Amino acid sequence: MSDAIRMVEKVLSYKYVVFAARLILGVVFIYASLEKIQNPAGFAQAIYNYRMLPEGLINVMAIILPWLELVCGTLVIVGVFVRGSALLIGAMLAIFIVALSSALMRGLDISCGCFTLEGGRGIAGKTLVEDVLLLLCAAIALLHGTRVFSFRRGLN
Amino acid sequence: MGDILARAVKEAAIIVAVVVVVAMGVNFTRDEGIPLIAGAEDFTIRTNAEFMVAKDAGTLFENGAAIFVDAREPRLFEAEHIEGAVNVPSAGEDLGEVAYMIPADPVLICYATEAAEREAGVTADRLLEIGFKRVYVLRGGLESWKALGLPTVEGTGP
Repeated sequence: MSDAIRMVEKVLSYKYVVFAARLILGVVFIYASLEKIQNPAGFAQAIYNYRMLPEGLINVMAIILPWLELVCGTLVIVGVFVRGSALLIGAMLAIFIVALSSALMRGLDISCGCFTLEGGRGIAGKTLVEDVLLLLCAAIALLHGTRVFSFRRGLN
Repeated sequence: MGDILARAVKEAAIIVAVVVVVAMGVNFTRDEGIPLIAGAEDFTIRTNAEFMVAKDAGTLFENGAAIFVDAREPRLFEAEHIEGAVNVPSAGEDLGEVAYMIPADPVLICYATEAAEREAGVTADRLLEIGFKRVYVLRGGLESWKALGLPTVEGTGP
Protein backbone atom coordinates (compact mmCIF):
# COMPACT_ATOMS: atom_id res chain seq x y z
CA MET A 1 0.00 0.00 0.00
CA SER A 2 2.71 2.45 0.96
CA ASP A 3 4.44 1.53 -2.32
CA ALA A 4 1.34 2.60 -4.22
CA ILE A 5 1.21 5.89 -2.33
CA ARG A 6 4.89 6.50 -3.04
CA MET A 7 4.27 5.76 -6.71
CA VAL A 8 1.38 8.26 -6.92
CA GLU A 9 3.48 10.82 -5.04
CA LYS A 10 6.31 10.29 -7.54
CA VAL A 11 4.05 10.72 -10.57
CA LEU A 12 2.42 13.85 -9.12
CA SER A 13 5.78 15.43 -8.42
CA TYR A 14 7.18 14.64 -11.89
CA LYS A 15 8.22 17.98 -13.32
CA TYR A 16 6.07 17.83 -16.46
CA VAL A 17 3.03 16.85 -14.42
CA VAL A 18 3.75 19.75 -12.06
CA PHE A 19 4.12 22.22 -14.91
CA ALA A 20 0.98 20.90 -16.62
CA ALA A 21 -0.92 21.42 -13.36
CA ARG A 22 0.36 25.00 -13.12
CA LEU A 23 -0.47 25.69 -16.75
CA ILE A 24 -4.03 24.36 -16.39
CA LEU A 25 -4.62 26.41 -13.22
CA GLY A 26 -3.17 29.53 -14.82
CA VAL A 27 -5.14 29.32 -18.04
CA VAL A 28 -8.42 28.54 -16.28
CA PHE A 29 -8.04 31.32 -13.71
CA ILE A 30 -6.91 33.97 -16.21
CA TYR A 31 -9.79 33.08 -18.53
CA ALA A 32 -12.26 33.09 -15.65
CA SER A 33 -11.14 36.53 -14.51
CA LEU A 34 -11.48 38.47 -17.76
CA GLU A 35 -15.23 38.92 -18.08
CA LYS A 36 -15.62 39.53 -14.35
CA ILE A 37 -13.03 42.31 -14.49
CA GLN A 38 -14.85 43.86 -17.46
CA ASN A 39 -18.22 43.72 -15.75
CA PRO A 40 -17.95 44.09 -11.96
CA ALA A 41 -21.63 44.97 -11.58
CA GLY A 42 -22.65 41.76 -13.36
CA PHE A 43 -20.32 39.71 -11.20
CA ALA A 44 -21.68 41.38 -8.05
CA GLN A 45 -25.17 40.36 -9.16
CA ALA A 46 -23.97 36.79 -9.75
CA ILE A 47 -22.52 36.68 -6.21
CA TYR A 48 -25.74 38.15 -4.81
CA ASN A 49 -27.75 35.41 -6.54
CA TYR A 50 -26.01 32.81 -4.37
CA ARG A 51 -27.60 34.47 -1.31
CA MET A 52 -24.60 33.62 0.86
CA LEU A 53 -22.77 36.88 1.57
CA PRO A 54 -24.20 39.91 3.37
CA GLU A 55 -24.93 42.66 0.82
CA GLY A 56 -22.28 44.92 2.34
CA LEU A 57 -19.49 42.51 1.37
CA ILE A 58 -20.65 41.62 -2.12
CA ASN A 59 -19.13 44.56 -4.01
CA VAL A 60 -15.76 44.29 -2.27
CA MET A 61 -15.68 40.62 -3.23
CA ALA A 62 -16.73 41.44 -6.81
CA ILE A 63 -13.96 44.03 -7.10
CA ILE A 64 -11.10 42.00 -5.60
CA LEU A 65 -11.78 38.36 -6.50
CA PRO A 66 -11.40 38.67 -10.32
CA TRP A 67 -8.06 40.50 -9.93
CA LEU A 68 -6.91 37.84 -7.49
CA GLU A 69 -7.81 35.20 -10.10
CA LEU A 70 -5.93 37.09 -12.83
CA VAL A 71 -2.79 37.76 -10.78
CA CYS A 72 -2.59 34.26 -9.26
CA GLY A 73 -3.26 32.67 -12.66
CA THR A 74 -0.43 34.69 -14.21
CA LEU A 75 2.05 34.10 -11.38
CA VAL A 76 1.44 30.37 -11.27
CA ILE A 77 2.33 30.13 -14.99
CA VAL A 78 5.34 32.45 -15.06
CA GLY A 79 6.78 30.87 -11.94
CA VAL A 80 6.88 33.76 -9.48
CA PHE A 81 5.43 33.19 -6.00
CA VAL A 82 4.13 29.83 -7.22
CA ARG A 83 3.37 28.52 -3.74
CA GLY A 84 1.56 31.61 -2.59
CA SER A 85 -0.50 31.72 -5.78
CA ALA A 86 -1.30 28.01 -5.54
CA LEU A 87 -2.41 28.46 -1.95
CA LEU A 88 -4.70 31.35 -2.87
CA ILE A 89 -6.09 29.48 -5.87
CA GLY A 90 -6.77 26.52 -3.59
CA ALA A 91 -8.55 28.79 -1.12
CA MET A 92 -10.67 30.32 -3.89
CA LEU A 93 -11.56 26.86 -5.21
CA ALA A 94 -12.55 25.77 -1.69
CA ILE A 95 -14.88 28.79 -1.48
CA PHE A 96 -16.34 28.04 -4.94
CA ILE A 97 -16.92 24.40 -3.97
CA VAL A 98 -18.74 25.39 -0.78
CA ALA A 99 -20.84 28.01 -2.62
CA LEU A 100 -21.74 25.67 -5.47
CA SER A 101 -22.60 22.76 -3.15
CA SER A 102 -24.72 25.00 -0.98
CA ALA A 103 -26.56 26.41 -4.01
CA LEU A 104 -27.12 22.91 -5.39
CA MET A 105 -28.45 21.70 -2.03
CA ARG A 106 -30.79 24.65 -1.74
CA GLY A 107 -31.98 23.96 -5.29
CA LEU A 108 -31.15 27.50 -6.45
CA ASP A 109 -31.75 27.90 -10.14
CA ILE A 110 -29.05 30.46 -10.84
CA SER A 111 -26.22 30.86 -13.28
CA CYS A 112 -22.82 29.83 -12.02
CA GLY A 113 -20.95 33.09 -12.61
CA CYS A 114 -17.86 30.94 -13.04
CA PHE A 115 -16.53 31.94 -16.46
CA THR A 116 -19.16 34.06 -18.12
CA LEU A 117 -21.78 36.37 -16.70
CA GLU A 118 -24.14 36.67 -19.66
CA GLY A 119 -26.30 33.74 -20.67
CA GLY A 120 -23.95 31.71 -18.55
CA ARG A 121 -24.24 28.08 -17.74
CA GLY A 122 -26.19 26.97 -14.74
CA ILE A 123 -24.69 25.27 -11.75
CA ALA A 124 -24.35 21.52 -11.89
CA GLY A 125 -22.48 18.64 -10.35
CA LYS A 126 -20.11 18.79 -13.32
CA THR A 127 -18.84 22.19 -12.23
CA LEU A 128 -18.13 20.77 -8.78
CA VAL A 129 -16.11 17.90 -10.25
CA GLU A 130 -14.07 20.39 -12.32
CA ASP A 131 -13.37 22.44 -9.21
CA VAL A 132 -12.23 19.37 -7.27
CA LEU A 133 -9.83 18.43 -10.12
CA LEU A 134 -8.50 22.00 -10.15
CA LEU A 135 -8.04 21.75 -6.39
CA LEU A 136 -5.84 18.69 -6.99
CA CYS A 137 -3.78 20.75 -9.48
CA ALA A 138 -3.46 23.49 -6.85
CA ALA A 139 -2.22 20.96 -4.28
CA ILE A 140 0.41 19.69 -6.73
CA ALA A 141 1.50 23.27 -7.50
CA LEU A 142 1.66 24.13 -3.81
CA LEU A 143 3.78 21.11 -2.84
CA HIS A 144 6.00 20.73 -5.90
CA GLY A 145 5.37 23.84 -8.00
CA THR A 146 8.79 25.39 -7.50
CA ARG A 147 10.66 22.41 -8.96
CA VAL A 148 10.32 23.50 -12.54
CA PHE A 149 10.36 26.81 -14.46
CA SER A 150 10.28 28.83 -11.31
CA PHE A 151 12.08 32.12 -10.82
CA ARG A 152 12.52 31.69 -7.13
CA ARG A 153 12.08 28.98 -4.62
CA GLY A 154 9.93 31.04 -2.37
CA LEU A 155 10.56 33.51 0.38
CA ASN A 156 12.89 32.61 3.18
CA MET B 1 5.43 20.48 4.76
CA GLY B 2 4.91 23.06 7.50
CA ASP B 3 7.79 25.00 6.07
CA ILE B 4 6.23 25.01 2.59
CA LEU B 5 2.93 26.18 4.02
CA ALA B 6 4.54 28.95 6.04
CA ARG B 7 6.31 30.28 2.93
CA ALA B 8 3.15 29.95 0.88
CA VAL B 9 1.19 31.95 3.44
CA LYS B 10 3.83 34.70 3.40
CA GLU B 11 3.76 34.89 -0.40
CA ALA B 12 -0.03 34.79 -0.42
CA ALA B 13 -0.18 37.73 1.99
CA ILE B 14 2.02 39.80 -0.32
CA ILE B 15 -0.08 38.86 -3.38
CA VAL B 16 -3.33 39.73 -1.60
CA ALA B 17 -1.95 43.09 -0.44
CA VAL B 18 -0.86 44.04 -3.97
CA VAL B 19 -4.09 42.78 -5.54
CA VAL B 20 -6.28 44.73 -3.09
CA VAL B 21 -4.45 47.97 -3.94
CA VAL B 22 -4.58 47.33 -7.71
CA ALA B 23 -8.22 46.19 -7.76
CA MET B 24 -9.43 49.10 -5.63
CA GLY B 25 -7.37 51.57 -7.65
CA VAL B 26 -8.69 50.34 -10.97
CA ASN B 27 -12.26 50.23 -9.68
CA PHE B 28 -11.96 53.78 -8.41
CA THR B 29 -10.68 55.18 -11.71
CA ARG B 30 -12.79 53.39 -14.30
CA ASP B 31 -16.27 54.19 -15.56
CA GLU B 32 -17.57 50.68 -14.84
CA GLY B 33 -16.41 50.93 -11.22
CA ILE B 34 -18.92 50.01 -8.53
CA PRO B 35 -19.36 51.43 -5.01
CA LEU B 36 -17.49 49.53 -2.28
CA ILE B 37 -20.57 48.94 -0.21
CA ALA B 38 -23.81 47.91 -1.86
CA GLY B 39 -27.26 47.69 -0.36
CA ALA B 40 -29.88 45.02 -1.06
CA GLU B 41 -31.70 47.50 -3.28
CA ASP B 42 -28.76 47.43 -5.70
CA PHE B 43 -29.43 43.80 -6.47
CA THR B 44 -33.15 43.44 -6.28
CA ILE B 45 -35.07 44.36 -9.35
CA ARG B 46 -37.50 47.24 -9.04
CA THR B 47 -39.97 47.66 -11.82
CA ASN B 48 -43.57 48.69 -12.27
CA ALA B 49 -44.02 45.96 -14.85
CA GLU B 50 -45.35 42.56 -13.91
CA PHE B 51 -43.34 39.39 -14.15
CA MET B 52 -44.07 36.53 -16.50
CA VAL B 53 -42.57 33.05 -16.25
CA ALA B 54 -40.94 31.48 -19.31
CA LYS B 55 -43.69 28.89 -19.72
CA ASP B 56 -46.40 31.54 -20.19
CA ALA B 57 -44.10 33.66 -22.35
CA GLY B 58 -43.44 30.58 -24.50
CA THR B 59 -47.16 30.08 -25.07
CA LEU B 60 -47.56 33.71 -26.19
CA PHE B 61 -44.49 33.27 -28.41
CA GLU B 62 -45.94 30.22 -30.09
CA ASN B 63 -49.21 32.06 -30.76
CA GLY B 64 -47.35 35.14 -32.02
CA ALA B 65 -49.16 37.11 -29.33
CA ALA B 66 -46.22 39.01 -27.82
CA ILE B 67 -43.19 41.02 -28.87
CA PHE B 68 -39.97 40.26 -27.04
CA VAL B 69 -37.73 43.15 -26.06
CA ASP B 70 -34.08 42.39 -25.32
CA ALA B 71 -32.79 44.92 -22.78
CA ARG B 72 -29.10 43.99 -23.03
CA GLU B 73 -26.40 45.84 -24.92
CA PRO B 74 -26.29 45.29 -28.73
CA ARG B 75 -23.11 43.17 -28.55
CA LEU B 76 -24.91 40.58 -26.40
CA PHE B 77 -28.11 40.85 -28.45
CA GLU B 78 -26.09 40.02 -31.56
CA ALA B 79 -24.51 36.98 -29.97
CA GLU B 80 -27.87 35.46 -29.02
CA HIS B 81 -31.44 36.60 -28.54
CA ILE B 82 -34.96 35.25 -28.46
CA GLU B 83 -36.22 34.64 -31.99
CA GLY B 84 -38.07 37.71 -33.25
CA ALA B 85 -36.93 39.95 -30.39
CA VAL B 86 -36.12 43.64 -30.82
CA ASN B 87 -33.20 45.26 -28.99
CA VAL B 88 -33.91 48.15 -26.63
CA PRO B 89 -30.80 48.41 -24.42
CA SER B 90 -31.57 49.59 -20.89
CA ALA B 91 -28.62 51.98 -21.05
CA GLY B 92 -29.64 53.68 -24.33
CA GLU B 93 -31.96 56.54 -25.12
CA ASP B 94 -33.43 55.21 -28.32
CA LEU B 95 -36.51 53.01 -28.24
CA GLY B 96 -36.05 52.16 -31.95
CA GLU B 97 -38.90 50.56 -33.82
CA VAL B 98 -40.77 49.76 -30.60
CA ALA B 99 -41.83 53.42 -30.29
CA TYR B 100 -44.01 53.10 -33.41
CA MET B 101 -46.02 50.29 -31.85
CA ILE B 102 -47.67 52.35 -29.10
CA PRO B 103 -51.03 52.70 -30.91
CA ALA B 104 -51.31 48.93 -31.27
CA ASP B 105 -50.33 48.40 -27.60
CA PRO B 106 -48.90 44.92 -28.06
CA VAL B 107 -47.92 42.65 -25.19
CA LEU B 108 -44.23 43.41 -24.62
CA ILE B 109 -42.03 40.97 -22.74
CA CYS B 110 -38.71 42.47 -21.67
CA TYR B 111 -35.82 40.25 -20.81
CA ALA B 112 -32.08 40.22 -20.12
CA THR B 113 -30.08 37.44 -18.53
CA GLU B 114 -30.97 36.22 -15.09
CA ALA B 115 -27.98 37.98 -13.53
CA ALA B 116 -28.91 41.21 -15.30
CA GLU B 117 -32.67 41.07 -14.71
CA ARG B 118 -32.54 44.66 -13.45
CA GLU B 119 -31.78 45.79 -17.02
CA ALA B 120 -35.02 44.19 -18.21
CA GLY B 121 -36.82 46.08 -15.42
CA VAL B 122 -35.29 49.39 -16.51
CA THR B 123 -36.36 48.94 -20.14
CA ALA B 124 -39.82 47.76 -19.05
CA ASP B 125 -40.30 50.90 -16.96
CA ARG B 126 -39.30 53.11 -19.88
CA LEU B 127 -41.84 51.37 -22.11
CA LEU B 128 -44.55 51.84 -19.47
CA GLU B 129 -43.62 55.51 -19.16
CA ILE B 130 -44.10 56.24 -22.85
CA GLY B 131 -47.55 54.72 -22.88
CA PHE B 132 -47.43 50.96 -23.35
CA LYS B 133 -49.85 49.22 -21.01
CA ARG B 134 -49.08 45.52 -21.30
CA VAL B 135 -45.40 45.28 -20.39
CA TYR B 136 -43.89 42.27 -18.61
CA VAL B 137 -40.46 41.18 -17.40
CA LEU B 138 -39.40 37.63 -18.20
CA ARG B 139 -38.62 35.97 -14.88
CA GLY B 140 -35.25 34.20 -14.95
CA GLY B 141 -34.24 35.85 -18.23
CA LEU B 142 -32.76 34.20 -21.26
CA GLU B 143 -31.63 31.21 -19.19
CA SER B 144 -35.14 30.24 -18.18
CA TRP B 145 -36.25 30.64 -21.82
CA LYS B 146 -33.54 28.33 -23.09
CA ALA B 147 -34.11 25.87 -20.26
CA LEU B 148 -37.53 25.18 -21.82
CA GLY B 149 -35.92 24.58 -25.22
CA LEU B 150 -37.50 27.72 -26.69
CA PRO B 151 -35.71 29.17 -29.75
CA THR B 152 -32.97 31.79 -29.86
CA VAL B 153 -31.08 33.18 -32.85
CA GLU B 154 -27.86 35.09 -33.58
CA GLY B 155 -27.38 38.33 -35.50
CA THR B 156 -28.51 41.94 -35.54
CA GLY B 157 -32.00 41.31 -36.98
CA PRO B 158 -35.06 40.06 -35.04
